Amino acid sequence: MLDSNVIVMLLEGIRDTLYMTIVSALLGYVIGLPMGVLLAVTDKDGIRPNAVIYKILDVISNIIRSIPFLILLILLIPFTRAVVGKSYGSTATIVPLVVCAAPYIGRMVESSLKEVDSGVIEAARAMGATNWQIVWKVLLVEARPSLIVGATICTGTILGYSAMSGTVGGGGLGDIAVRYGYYRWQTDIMIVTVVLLIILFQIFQNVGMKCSSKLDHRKHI
Amino acid sequence: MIEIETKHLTKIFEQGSETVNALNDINLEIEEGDIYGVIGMSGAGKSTLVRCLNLLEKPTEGEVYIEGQNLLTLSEDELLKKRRNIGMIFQHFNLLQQKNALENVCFPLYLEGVGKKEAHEKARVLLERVGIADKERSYPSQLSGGQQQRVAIARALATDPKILLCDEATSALDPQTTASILRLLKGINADLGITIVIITHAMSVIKEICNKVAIVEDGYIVENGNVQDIFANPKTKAAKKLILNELPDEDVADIRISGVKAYVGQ
Repeated sequence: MLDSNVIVMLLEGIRDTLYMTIVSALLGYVIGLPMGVLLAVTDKDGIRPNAVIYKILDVISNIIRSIPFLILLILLIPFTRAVVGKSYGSTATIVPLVVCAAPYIGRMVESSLKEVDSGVIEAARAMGATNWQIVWKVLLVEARPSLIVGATICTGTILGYSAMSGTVGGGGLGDIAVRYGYYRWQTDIMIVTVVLLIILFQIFQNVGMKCSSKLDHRKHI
Repeated sequence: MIEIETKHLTKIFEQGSETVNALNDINLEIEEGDIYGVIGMSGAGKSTLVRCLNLLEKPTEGEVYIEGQNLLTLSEDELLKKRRNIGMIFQHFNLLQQKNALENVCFPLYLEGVGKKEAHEKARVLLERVGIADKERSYPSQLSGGQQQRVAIARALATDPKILLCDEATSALDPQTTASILRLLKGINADLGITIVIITHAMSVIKEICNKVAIVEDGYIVENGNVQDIFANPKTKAAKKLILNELPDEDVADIRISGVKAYVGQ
């Protein structure tokens, strides 16, 4: 079963999956990180409460997160076509992945920032820090290990979702698994792709957790 | 010269339908070079009071003057600048956990836009001053409580403040460490002429280093003045209770017979 064609296909699948996952995670953070910061800052216990901004972001993020990814993928087809010119393939899949991931990332960032000890924030305030300085020099610094854990979890989830997009021609390992395993009954190839997905996931997970604990200075003895 | 003054300072917290009068008509005059103690039981309002002095809490009514300047009339920007003249230390130290001692001391300097090199130089001098020059690379989790408080003191001094506010700064420390931190504060007051305000629930702290004291109960200042006078002749029930609480039981029994004055005089 593993002739050279299949191996090339699998390698391309790995490449496409990595491409989709990494680009989606990065773009997801471009939107999700500011969103999470705003959520944490404008919350009623935040450093600059603003009920209107918080509520708007809260509702947007809850609506998007409540739509199942597969349905979002289909709902967004016209939008995807408008952005990248086509609605199938790896690049096209990045659009719904980012739309889906950004609010998740926003929530993850929000909860990481909220873990920061309020005493440290108060100390910064007492030293005359502006709200910007508190965000940049206190919140994002103190929450760093937790932010990295969040990024690890989000990347893992995006990896899983990218595979799901295979059902509608999304490219990558998920696509291969669906085409060969589901439509052609070639269970062996499907199993190989699943194993590859598991290995990729493990690599992301381990690297992320290692980075987080290595960079966390609370645990040193 | 009067360094810190409050006039009719009142703070009311509203929690749902309930209102809590945390501070009522507080009038304080703290002179330059004072080590001014504010003592009271838990929940008396003393932490709120110290937070009103740098406007971390906004008073509901009344005024706060620092060096003759009414803080409540300052713009947001001016207030942030003013806060850099007022150092503050806390019960739980509140250091950045992800930064080492040196970077923690540099933090307020970075906020002012001081460059890294200059900040490091100044921070090293300050760490030396507080007696932990060898710990500059240590993270807060690697330091003991007393060492962490020393870093916090160095940090509070980084911007050359004229005032140092201490919110229960020794309450999380053991008696020996408390004594050493109090000695450090006293030295800073003597060497640099910094006015110190100390919030505490322990009379021993007041006795150790303060020259003046205010006793807070249920949001009111019930008694204030020179430490010797208050100790020698506490007028209010709250003052007597705080002073007597510090003494062993048999002494208290003695005092009940012979009066507080006798104890302090001995």
